[in-house]
Amino acid sequence: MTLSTQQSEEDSQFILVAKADNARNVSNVLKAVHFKDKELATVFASENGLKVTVEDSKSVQANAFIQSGIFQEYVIKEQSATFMVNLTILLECLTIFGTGTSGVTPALKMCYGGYGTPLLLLLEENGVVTDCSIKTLEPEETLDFNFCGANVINKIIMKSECLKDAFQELDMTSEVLEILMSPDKPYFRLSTFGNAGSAHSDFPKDSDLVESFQCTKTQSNRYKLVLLKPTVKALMSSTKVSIRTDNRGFLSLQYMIRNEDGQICFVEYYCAPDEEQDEENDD
Amino acid sequence: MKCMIPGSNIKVFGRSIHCLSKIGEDLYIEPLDHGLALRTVNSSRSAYACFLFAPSFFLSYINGTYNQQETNQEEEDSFRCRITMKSCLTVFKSLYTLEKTVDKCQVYIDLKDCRLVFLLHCKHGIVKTHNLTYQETETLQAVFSKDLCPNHIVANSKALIDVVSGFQTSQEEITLNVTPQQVSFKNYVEDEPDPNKVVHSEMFLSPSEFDDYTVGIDAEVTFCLKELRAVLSFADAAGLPMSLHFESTGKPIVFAMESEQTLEATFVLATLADLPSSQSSTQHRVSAASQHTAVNHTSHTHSLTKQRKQAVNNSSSRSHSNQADDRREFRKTKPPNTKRQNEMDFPDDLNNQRETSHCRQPGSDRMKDIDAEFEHQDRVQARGPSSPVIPLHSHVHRASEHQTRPALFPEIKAAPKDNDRATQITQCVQPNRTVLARYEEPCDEEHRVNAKQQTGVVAPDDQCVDSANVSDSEDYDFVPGTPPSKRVGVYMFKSMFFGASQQLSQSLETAQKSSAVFKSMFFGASQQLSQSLETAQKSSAVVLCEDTDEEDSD
Repeated sequence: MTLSTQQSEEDSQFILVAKADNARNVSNVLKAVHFKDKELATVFASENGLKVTVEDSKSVQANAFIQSGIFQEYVIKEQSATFMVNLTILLECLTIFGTGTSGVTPALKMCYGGYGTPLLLLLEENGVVTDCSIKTLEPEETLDFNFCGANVINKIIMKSECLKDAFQELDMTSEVLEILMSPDKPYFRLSTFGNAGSAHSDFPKDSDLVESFQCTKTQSNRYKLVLLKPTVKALMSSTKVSIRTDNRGFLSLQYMIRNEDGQICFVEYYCAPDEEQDEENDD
Repeated sequence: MKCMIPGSNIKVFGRSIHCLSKIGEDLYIEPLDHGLALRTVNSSRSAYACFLFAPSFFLSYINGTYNQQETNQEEEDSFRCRITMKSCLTVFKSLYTLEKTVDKCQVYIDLKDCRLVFLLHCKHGIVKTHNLTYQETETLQAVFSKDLCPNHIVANSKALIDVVSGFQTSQEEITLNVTPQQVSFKNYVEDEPDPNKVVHSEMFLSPSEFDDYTVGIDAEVTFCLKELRAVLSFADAAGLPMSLHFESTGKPIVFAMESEQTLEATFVLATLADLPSSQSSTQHRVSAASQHTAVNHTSHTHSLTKQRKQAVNNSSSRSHSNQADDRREFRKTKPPNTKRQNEMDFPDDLNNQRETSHCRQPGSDRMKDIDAEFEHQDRVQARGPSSPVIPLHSHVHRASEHQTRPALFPEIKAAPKDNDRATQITQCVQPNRTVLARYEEPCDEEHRVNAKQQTGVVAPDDQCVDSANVSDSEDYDFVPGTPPSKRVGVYMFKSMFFGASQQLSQSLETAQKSSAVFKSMFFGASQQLSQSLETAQKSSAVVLCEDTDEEDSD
């Protein structure tokens, strides 16, 4: 074990101790829920693993699930622990040895002593140890989007590859992204309405990149593009994506992220539709 | 207009957009019978770029007004539009992705919704549609003629890239200097009081480095590096040799590329009209000017020009289509390689009275400046009562003066208000003001100089040379052995206004035959002018300076 300098009796004072041989497996997933201007993330720790939640404008919520299997050692003494932490700082600490993809990967030990105590990180690479202590904050209540599978109207699972271009080329002068899902043509369409005109990307349902196409009703909703912007990060590191909308027009995007060791993590975004939709549809 | 770009060509097309985007902010699209033209001009109108994609570039190319039922009486022939470069770049943002994913791209005009549509058919059945708003516009056309240029060099783009990469990225302009023996590129340094503070770099190339090397006259041209870099980035990626056509200081330089009859790219860059004192000897030009005075009845000097830059930017204010039509009428012929011209391309046309009234307007403050400049020239009256000065500087004796880049697109102003026009028309009954500047082969000049010095004739109407110089000039000893390169700098009169009328080109032809090239700064010369030209030619004296006084009354 690379962190052999740590004595096990020291660990007894922590309610959560998680060790990973590759800190990047953790940091890559956390990056997918990192919003540029929303730095605070709520961390729920349970015996299943960590769930990190970031919210913006009470309209979008991103959840990253790092299941306990990602860690080589994962010990939690209480049923659950919840705290809030600055995600920007956490990510900076996790990538303190750089993000290069060279063979050497830093090992991580993460410890949390309970309410009011800081989150301790120990990173080690090539015998160099970094000791980080990040202050935790009072957890805030997170939104419940009440998005349940029973209300899902349309669902498409596709390889991320084809959405990557589409999302990267989105016209950011547009205020909204319109997502149309339909059992009939054009099946799945992303539209923007920017200064220079409109742009659409159409994806046929029989494309070899579409794995599952379960659309029952034509539905077209608009979502604020600024809110969806952080999803591009998740999309870029993902291999597959599931797009779902429910009867209220709420959007759920689930990204499957495969890490360097071949393990799979999930990142999920919920987004509320743009309420001005009806007015804007007039043009 | 409807065309389909095959996947194999989409990258070239995208790259041309990227190249254009480095030059101008708007993209002018014009479908022509012989291909699709994409053009742009930079904000100071000193650089113009045009890509012409031949029909064979496309899978299919239809240039027609096929779904044009209602509307558009103005569009008598074809459709032209302008879109912002930014919007077009969103379509062709990533060349890599384009190349990898796009199978074909359809471009068409949706006249019903007034959108220019780019339909990208990508792999996996994905279809991306970009509906871009456009503005209808007149044709953008620089008026230039590369075929008349005495200097023609064909270079491998790699060689030019090597040259350009030798200069700092902060360098704004470079000077190209050619002689039959060698080519040099050096950085252009603007007025810097302390010469020790400036880095001067110069790079010499031998003519053998070039695929073709024809240098008719020694020339030194200074142009913008930024645009050249954009041009080269395309040439490099396309792997096309580039041909340079240029003439002399102040005349535009043309970069052209051609690819197997599918693609033609032409870039016209304005060159600085005056050489910096630090680089070419001021001394020389001053002395040359005085020398010139002695012979001013034979070769009339106007180192015209530059500077219309500030005026040019107002050009949008004058897009009165009928006015443009008028102009078109008057300009029945076009110089080679010029297709349609719209008002923005036209030189100030002095051959027509209405035209005159229009072009008298531009930059009246400019003219004031010029008037002011001439006020302190003692010889102003010598030009005779009916000839106030042409609104163009002569910088022969003012080498240190601030430098400006000439615009490629001379300004033509909005039509004057009606009452203005009325007065102007009456004024225009007087002879039009026209200036002919003239280029003569040095050897020819030499003759004249000597001849003139013998007879001691000084033309009464030289307006370009300072009186001080004039007095000196009589003592000036012309040295026959002066290297041509030096003399050329003096006798080259350049025009920022390209575009010859038929008459002028005729006289040009004759002029060329007689080994003297006449250039008019206002190429739209009237018949009257060309007649005078011919007469002038016969009598080997070219001074036409007639004018109305209206700018004085402004």
